[in-house]
Amino acid sequence: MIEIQNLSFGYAKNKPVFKNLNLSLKAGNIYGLLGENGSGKSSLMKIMAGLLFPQEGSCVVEGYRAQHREPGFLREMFFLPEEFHVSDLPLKDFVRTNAPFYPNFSQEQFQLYLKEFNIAEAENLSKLSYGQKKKVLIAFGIATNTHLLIMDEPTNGLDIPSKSQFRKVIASAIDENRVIIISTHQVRDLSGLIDPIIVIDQQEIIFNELLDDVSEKLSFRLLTKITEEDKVLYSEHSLKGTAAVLENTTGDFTKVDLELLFNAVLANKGRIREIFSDKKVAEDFQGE
Amino acid sequence: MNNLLDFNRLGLLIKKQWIEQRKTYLISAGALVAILGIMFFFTLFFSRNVTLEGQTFQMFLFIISFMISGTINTSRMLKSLSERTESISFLLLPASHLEKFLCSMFYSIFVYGIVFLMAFYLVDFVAVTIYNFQNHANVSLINFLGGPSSSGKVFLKGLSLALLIHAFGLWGSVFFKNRTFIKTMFLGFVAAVVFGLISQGLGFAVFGQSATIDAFRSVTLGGTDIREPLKIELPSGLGEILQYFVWTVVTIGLWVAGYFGLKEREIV
Repeated sequence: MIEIQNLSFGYAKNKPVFKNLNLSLKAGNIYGLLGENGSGKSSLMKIMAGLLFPQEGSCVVEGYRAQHREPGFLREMFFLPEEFHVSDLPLKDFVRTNAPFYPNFSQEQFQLYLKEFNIAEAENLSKLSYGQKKKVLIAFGIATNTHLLIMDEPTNGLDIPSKSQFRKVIASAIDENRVIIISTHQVRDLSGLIDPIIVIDQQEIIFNELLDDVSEKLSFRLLTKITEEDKVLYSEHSLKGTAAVLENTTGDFTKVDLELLFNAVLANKGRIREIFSDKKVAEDFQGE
Repeated sequence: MNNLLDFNRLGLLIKKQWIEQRKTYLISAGALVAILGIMFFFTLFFSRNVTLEGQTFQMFLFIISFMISGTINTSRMLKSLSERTESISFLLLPASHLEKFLCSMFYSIFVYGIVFLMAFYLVDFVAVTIYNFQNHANVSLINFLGGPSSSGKVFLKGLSLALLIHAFGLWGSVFFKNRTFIKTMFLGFVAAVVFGLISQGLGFAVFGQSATIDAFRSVTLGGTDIREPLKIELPSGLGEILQYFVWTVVTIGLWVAGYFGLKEREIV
């Protein structure tokens, strides 16, 4: 679906954001794109959407070079930026003027999602709050049924009930023809939704794994005391004890805590890389 | 699927822009009528030296108002590109760059041209009717096509200049990322001054400091050491053709540059 090859990009000549980046995203997944502020999450999304151009390498989406922004590509891609614009129109006019550009747009789905988000169809967009406007765009973006749906910090500005509605709506929208990419700082908002997890740090992708593989190789535990036998990759104190990410030596599966995982990946990237590359070598060996 | 130009998509774009901007367009058209009315009536009824006889005043007002409103009109072209969030929606709307460009041209040239002419003739009609009634005169509405030959020429010149300003405004709205109007106008002023200085400088370098240069028409060589000044003049009409040719080439060049600028536009 999306093939990024040897991509280099930077806003200034001597300050690259990405260098020789390679990434392949496949249909049927909701990718979670995580990274610290300034790590390049939004830049990568804009490159995929064709808003920024690679200095070297390529970003190809379903055979189209994203940067050419051809209609054949754009009709199958919907991008919801963190800061967005909607015209001051009645909602029905917004749909009337935008939906015809998307051949697979479903009015029924749109109405269903609006209902889920508690937004009345008779509303005028200018009278809606930021969060409500965002929910309209999320509902519209999903109802376009584009093969690629990119959302930059979609839960920012949403209230607590809306975040859970968002998870529900997104989970219902994924199918085998579609890729959804969501970037966020608030990983807890997307817990149980995003899989695989991609972490960007210092110009490269340092982690790109399925949650099943994460829980197979890592263990997420609340410890009262850390012993020498525990292979701790990352830990932090909490009121209930010490929340830790350990190497999974027992084979027991634990629930992945995305925030802990993210912190562990950033704090101990060398060891984490070794653990997951060991797994890949073993898989390759079994394959042979 | 045609990724360059599809008339169905172009139609959708035109419809979308109309639905989104119709209030602004209608208010602008009303404002244009009001401004033209003020220009006509204040000048005509408060200045004793101004008359509608001979159509010179109508022609003058036409050119002045066409230029001023045309400049304001260009500032609104591709307005979406001057605001970051709006430009994302604009660039990612599933239509080709050419279709977006043509849609902008449709509104800023075709629709604007028709609206301006309608507004001007409406005000002109009222002004001429009142003038004829008050002065027992028989002044007719300005006629660019069938009227005095000079009217047609002035109209053609005004139109060419307006299209040049349009092309420059469109180029500016694509290339500048913010404060588009001010930057474009400032650059236009600088470009005009630089062009004037360079052409004068080139002329003096070729013909000497004492030459008098009338761009696209003639060069007069003369000085204290020459009794009879020598005037080198292009054949009648050729200078004008050359002038239109240069304006047309620059206008088309700016439109093409604007189109490619749109294709290459990135949103940081």
